[in-house]
Amino acid sequence: MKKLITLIKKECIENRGSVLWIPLAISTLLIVAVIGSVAWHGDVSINLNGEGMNAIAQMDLETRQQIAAAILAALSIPFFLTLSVVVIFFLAHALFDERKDRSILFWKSLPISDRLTIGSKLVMALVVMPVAYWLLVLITQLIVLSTVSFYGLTEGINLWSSLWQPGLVIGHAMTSLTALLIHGFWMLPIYAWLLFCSSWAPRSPLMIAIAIVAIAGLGLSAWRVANTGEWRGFEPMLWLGQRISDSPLPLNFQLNLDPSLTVGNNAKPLVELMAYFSSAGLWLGVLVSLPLLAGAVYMRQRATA
Amino acid sequence: MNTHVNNVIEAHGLSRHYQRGQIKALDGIDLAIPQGRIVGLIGPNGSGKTTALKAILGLTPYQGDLKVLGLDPGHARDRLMERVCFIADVATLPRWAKVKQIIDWTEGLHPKFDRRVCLDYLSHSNVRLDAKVGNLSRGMVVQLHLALVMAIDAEILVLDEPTLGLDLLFRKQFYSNLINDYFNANRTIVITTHQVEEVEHILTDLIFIDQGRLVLNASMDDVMNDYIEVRVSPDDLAKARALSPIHERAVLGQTVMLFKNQPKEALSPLGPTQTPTVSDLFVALMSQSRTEIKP
Repeated sequence: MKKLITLIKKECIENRGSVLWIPLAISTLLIVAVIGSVAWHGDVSINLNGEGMNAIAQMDLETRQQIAAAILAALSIPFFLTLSVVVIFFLAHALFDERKDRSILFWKSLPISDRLTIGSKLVMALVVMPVAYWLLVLITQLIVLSTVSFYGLTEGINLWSSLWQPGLVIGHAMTSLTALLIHGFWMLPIYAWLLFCSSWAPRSPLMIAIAIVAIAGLGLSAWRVANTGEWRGFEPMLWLGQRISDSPLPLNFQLNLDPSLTVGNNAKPLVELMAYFSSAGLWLGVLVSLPLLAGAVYMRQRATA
Repeated sequence: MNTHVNNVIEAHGLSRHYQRGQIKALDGIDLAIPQGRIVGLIGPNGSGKTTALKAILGLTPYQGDLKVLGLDPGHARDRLMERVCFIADVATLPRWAKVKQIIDWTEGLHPKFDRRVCLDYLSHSNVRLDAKVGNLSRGMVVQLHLALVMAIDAEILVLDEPTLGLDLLFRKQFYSNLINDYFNANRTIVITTHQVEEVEHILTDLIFIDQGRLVLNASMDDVMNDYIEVRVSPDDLAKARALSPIHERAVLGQTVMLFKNQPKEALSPLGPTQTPTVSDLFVALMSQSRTEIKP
């Protein structure tokens, strides 16, 4: 366990840009945007000037709560979109960069197995990076809510009752975290493919990973057209699109807007997300990932040969 | 109870073939390296010495039997690395990391690492703990790597061209630290280098390798007993050649011949005798080996 923790610390420092600086930059941008719009009273698009707040304050409680839920959900989207891209780059380079700068020879001079090394990269992608982004989402949400509420008070508008619902903030946080963690497992075949390509690609691992899928897909589509005369579109891209749209993250967005959250029923979205664990799609993905991960271990063993 | 000599590295028929056997990086070599020795593994480029080291370190697949500290490196590299250290080359430390971070990670990853020893070595160098490895000079990176390795209580230390690209002062310092502060009877050091003259005074054993085969595998004592060089007087050339020298070379108009297993009494009358340097012996045995291999 001590070795795994050390490896994860090392990954965090090596990838501090992706793990910390990028989400921190998003958070700062969002907070500055909100504070700016409040301070200058002018940004109608965000609608957080006094007029907009007054309008919100006039609405019934349920609508106000839904608006609050929408603000919280909207704040999380830039983080989750960025995370999805950052994880892809991280995995594509996870086993490539150490070969490129030859530091693999140093890491292999230490008593760490290839399995543990690759395991630490997976823990980064599946747990550490999502949790880091989730924490920054939470912090951003709290700061934005505080700013808006404080401003509301200075204008004599009480937004505390609609925005500061423990059920709402905690509910959002819990569903988002659950969705992010399940998202990793859902995307595991894609992650494992990237790690596998990263373990042997002589250059540009991400391009190679995409190119192989594209060429294989083109071949498959051409073969199908030749044999059945049927064009089903560019199949790997369709499959990828389907996998992403079926992932828990879009569902999480819907759940975050679900009125049941606002009345404190936090269990419902969690139950919906947990249903992924009983879906064949998730376990089939895990099954596909295992040989790819074993392949990555095998290729790392031979990377120094 | 093990009645054998305590060999820390044992290989039988160690081979590594590429391209379906067409290229033989290692061609069935036998090795037995006992504990407490400093072994020089010397060979020209592409001779198979780095492949042999990589096999010993579990960094490459191989055929044949190989045991390092009783473990199979191909299947137990991570366990082996608790007892074996290596510096594969200069500049393999991650350039993006800070010195202090590398020390922290080595401490977290290696159960036999003593942080105090490492910091003590570094305190005598110019390496700052908050410096980035990428900003250190080549010599400083080697000092850092050596400090890390010296702080690990390992049984075998493998050095593959450890001083490549370093200036003379750093090279001297490196080997001086190694011998004075690290080496003891429980530790074995295996070194490959092209700068043979810098290590020959510290070696206890010598292994020459060429084209995947061992050309020499002997202790330095045996080398000194078995091989004699004679600066042969021009009048005695025919007499000397009759004693079957294994190599001849011209030095300042004189002929120097290398003899194996010839009594000193038989050679002394031919001219001044001396023990060959490792580099002279290397050149002689390599040319002999290549002549024998040629059809």
